[in-house]
Amino acid sequence: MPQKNHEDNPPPTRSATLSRQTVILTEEAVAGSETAFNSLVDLFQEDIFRMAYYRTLSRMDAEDITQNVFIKAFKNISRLQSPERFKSWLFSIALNQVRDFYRKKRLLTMLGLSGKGDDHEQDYEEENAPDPLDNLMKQDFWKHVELFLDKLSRMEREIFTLRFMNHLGIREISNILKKNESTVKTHLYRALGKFRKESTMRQFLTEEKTL
Amino acid sequence: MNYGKDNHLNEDQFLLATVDKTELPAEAREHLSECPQCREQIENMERELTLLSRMAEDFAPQQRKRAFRYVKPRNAGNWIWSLRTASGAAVMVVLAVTLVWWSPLSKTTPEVVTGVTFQESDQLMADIDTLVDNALPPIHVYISGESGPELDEEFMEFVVPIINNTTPTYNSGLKGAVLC
Ligand SMILES: [Zn+2]
Repeated sequence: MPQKNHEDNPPPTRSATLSRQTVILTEEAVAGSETAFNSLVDLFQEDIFRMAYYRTLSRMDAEDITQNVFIKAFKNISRLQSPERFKSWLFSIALNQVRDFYRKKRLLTMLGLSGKGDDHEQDYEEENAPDPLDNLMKQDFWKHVELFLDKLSRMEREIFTLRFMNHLGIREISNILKKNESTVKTHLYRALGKFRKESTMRQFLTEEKTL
Repeated sequence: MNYGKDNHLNEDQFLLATVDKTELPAEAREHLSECPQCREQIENMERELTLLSRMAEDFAPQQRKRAFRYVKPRNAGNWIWSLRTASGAAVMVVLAVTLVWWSPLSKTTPEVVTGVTFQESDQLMADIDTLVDNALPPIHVYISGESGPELDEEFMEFVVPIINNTTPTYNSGLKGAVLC
């Protein structure tokens, strides 16, 4: 019955079934267990990689960011005071790493040292060469996503992405961004309003579903 | 507001319900529980958002380089390591013996010189270890971002300050924008 769905408001996909395991592993990692830390890496590296990829659209950059996130997490995990907030903490580190990545990129651009022109196209080709049709569809999808996200304000974009692409709950987002939950909801509300008006993007999504 | 049978949720309430249904006024919630039409609209919206996230996952590339894992330094228990260490030590001993043998000093006080040579070889090994540990000169370590993270962040903050001191934004590949 949909009634239940109205009461609680879970993230749209992939419920956090591993949270208990995460807390246990985090407690062990905080206490100094490298094995537990490595298990946390195994549990979260895909999430962090995707998070970074959605913000860079470059596999190699996303991999580098992911690497840095876990190095930083390893160096600082003994200082983590609330093991139940490990995921939020890890995403905060990831957001900072993405921010650093763009600052360094800006610096290189300012200094005229930036190398690649259109990283995205290169990445698509590199990743998907075997199937040109599939490749085209992926490019199309990411262009739609970019066009839509470009219409959002910085905060709307970040919150929308964390919520609906990284599957984080409102409380987790609130912890990561250090904003209160009602602020998070307000930005989400505005972002969803823009999403609803994005008929091309919505049409693309539903058309692809039927393929 | 009175939510009758035909008083469906308005646009704002649809959005509110998609964000968090508990944010809806009690009457609207009651209407929602009784109105399949409104529920269907919300479910359609949620379905589209689910599609977006699923496609993003499907269309993101696979990670090729696995993330950092802590690996304990290899110890004497590892036979490859032992073999390497033993080979290195053997070479050093041969070198030391050769040096001692050919050294004019060796003719007179071989024991002392042998000791000195071993001390020197220890020193040499220590120097090599230091060089391996700090392969890059400090300035290169700094440039490569392998120095202390705090210093690095401070430096970056100084050179490229954050525009609004808020969160990073999506990179627009189309416009080439980085932060906006
Ligand atoms: Zn209705």
